[in-house]
Amino acid sequence: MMITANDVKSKLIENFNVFELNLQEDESNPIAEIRKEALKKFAAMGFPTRRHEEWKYTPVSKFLKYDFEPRTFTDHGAPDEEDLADAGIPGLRANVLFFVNGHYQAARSKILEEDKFEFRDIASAINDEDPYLLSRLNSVIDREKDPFIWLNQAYMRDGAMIRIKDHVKLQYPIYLVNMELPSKGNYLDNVRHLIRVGDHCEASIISNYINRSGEDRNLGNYFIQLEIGDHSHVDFYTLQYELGKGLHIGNHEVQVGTKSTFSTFFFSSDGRLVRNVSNIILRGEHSEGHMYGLYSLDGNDHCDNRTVIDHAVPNSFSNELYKGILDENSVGVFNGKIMVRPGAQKTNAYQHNPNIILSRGATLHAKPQLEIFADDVKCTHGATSGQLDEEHLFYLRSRGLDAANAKALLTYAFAYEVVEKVKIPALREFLEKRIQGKLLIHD
Amino acid sequence: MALLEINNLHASIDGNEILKGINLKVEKGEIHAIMGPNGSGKSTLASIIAGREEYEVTKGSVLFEGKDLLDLAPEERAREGVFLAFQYPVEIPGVSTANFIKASVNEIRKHRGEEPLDAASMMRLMKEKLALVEMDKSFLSRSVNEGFSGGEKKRNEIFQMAVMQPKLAVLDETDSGLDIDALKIVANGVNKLHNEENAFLVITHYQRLLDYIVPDKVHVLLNGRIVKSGGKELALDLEARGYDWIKEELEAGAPQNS
Repeated sequence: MMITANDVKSKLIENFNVFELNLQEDESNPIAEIRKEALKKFAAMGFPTRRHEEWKYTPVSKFLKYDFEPRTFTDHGAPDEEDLADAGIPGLRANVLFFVNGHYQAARSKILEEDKFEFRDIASAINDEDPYLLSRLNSVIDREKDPFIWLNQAYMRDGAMIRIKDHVKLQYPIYLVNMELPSKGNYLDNVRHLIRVGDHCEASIISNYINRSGEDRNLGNYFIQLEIGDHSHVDFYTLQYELGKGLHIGNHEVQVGTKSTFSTFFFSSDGRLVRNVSNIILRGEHSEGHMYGLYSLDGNDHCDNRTVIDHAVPNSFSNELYKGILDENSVGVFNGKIMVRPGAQKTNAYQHNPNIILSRGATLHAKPQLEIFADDVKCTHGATSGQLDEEHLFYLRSRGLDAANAKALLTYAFAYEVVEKVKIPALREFLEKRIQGKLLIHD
Repeated sequence: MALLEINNLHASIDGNEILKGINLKVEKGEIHAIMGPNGSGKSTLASIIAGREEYEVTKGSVLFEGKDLLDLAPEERAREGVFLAFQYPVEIPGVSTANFIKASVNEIRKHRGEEPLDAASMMRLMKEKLALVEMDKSFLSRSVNEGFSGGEKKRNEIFQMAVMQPKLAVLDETDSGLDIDALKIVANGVNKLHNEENAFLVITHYQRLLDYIVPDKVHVLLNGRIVKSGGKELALDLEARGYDWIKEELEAGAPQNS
């Protein structure tokens, strides 16, 4: 029998009690109430349909073909050499936090700068009723009314809780490895990463998503909350190169304080369904938000990029560059919203979304949205889509490069504008190689 | 066997016939100049030799070392030794000149059955050829033609030609938009590369370039046909008298070779 999104929803709601029993959480733990509230919200919303404006181009029900079940067991097996190789970034020295099927793996993790930040796994923070955790769970900003956020909150089990104290400059990035190992069932993993960066800090975070089964029987539902204090610099990199046909939902909620700069980078090149949502709130004056994205898709990849940059106060700046390369039957979605709140004067906001369509079967949906409630602001946006320039191709071919290589070189050049923004050399090199590999550039 | 042999070449674009029966033979070691007013078909001829696909050849043949050139893809022509210096070289942001040249040189070497050049030899080759067109090595790290002045773009074409060492180089109005200094640099580059084994087809609107690159033969292209051929003095005639006298000669039915 065909499973529908409604069946998936009903089963998730019905089986919540079983999930709770399996968890063996203390009944008096406030988390119980938080979970129930979240489940109610999820039940009321259900999975989005095409009628939901935010999901117009991503008919999520189409991808929910199995009776996904939240994992409750804790024995996930150990990643083998091949699994680990997928998580490796040559030459990268980092504070590694390793998660398998959504669970923290201390044995695979390696924290180089223990004295500089505080790390807890969320599972134990839940058990200890950690006040910081509870306060964050109670302060989810519900502006986008995304049912996956509530699903995550109802069923969350683990994740990283990271706190960086004031005046700390991390020397090495924090590297979150999020790996799904092949398993027999159809699993939904709800993972929460909570990060708090203090004032006058510098930090980079890399979050890499790896689905070793490469199947659409795995749905990773991630919710990342990042709070940045004042006068800080934070870069956040998301890598999606090893998802195979996996399904991935990632919600990011970022708050940026006064005179702080936040940069986000999404590199997506895999996945039957990938939805990356970035909600960035510039809540301090003279703060900056930089958003870079490169979605390079083929096969039946579907990648939906949704960004909201919220200029909540005067004198803030945002810049967005998302580039798409769409081949074969892939579908790319770009939906970028610039919000300028009443009174947020002197806002500067730029958005640019160029796309290259390499095949007739590929589809792009680009939708910039400007909601401006202040009059003294500068906002520009532009989205383009087209093929590779014939004159450029002929020029390269007339110098001896064959058509395929000429196309690859031009496509790489197109992509490089985003890659060159990456500030960690080992990561930049890794991305260069990945993109060249995908384009089959040979020396 | 001629290096290049064009027989009764007819070509059109979007149904308009541009070339109406071109005959031309270029031997190794020769420099030919093709002159003619705007719209006579000069650039079309260059484009067809290089393999630009928007032109349709309706009749005739182009043989390169006896091989059917029209049957080859643009990259195959390049690897066989045909080079076109573009009238309007394109800017390619994001592709460094060094990487571009490297890819190009190694494709050609592969075609000849040679090993790819190692990094040091490649750099030596590029530096040597840069000196020929008086370009700084900082050019190599810049994106291909991006932000180059008109003169720099043309010098970059000659630089690429020097690196690729083609058997036949077609210079499509390489002199247009050049000041006298840049013109001398370009001409000097061509003269240094010229030898008994290669040939040049210099397409130009003006005689000026031919003060520095001395052709063995000059052809006048008019309305899609070569209507007059001669020695280098023909270029001076054209400079002094324009093209009208040739048109008049044609109408009077005068012989076409002086």
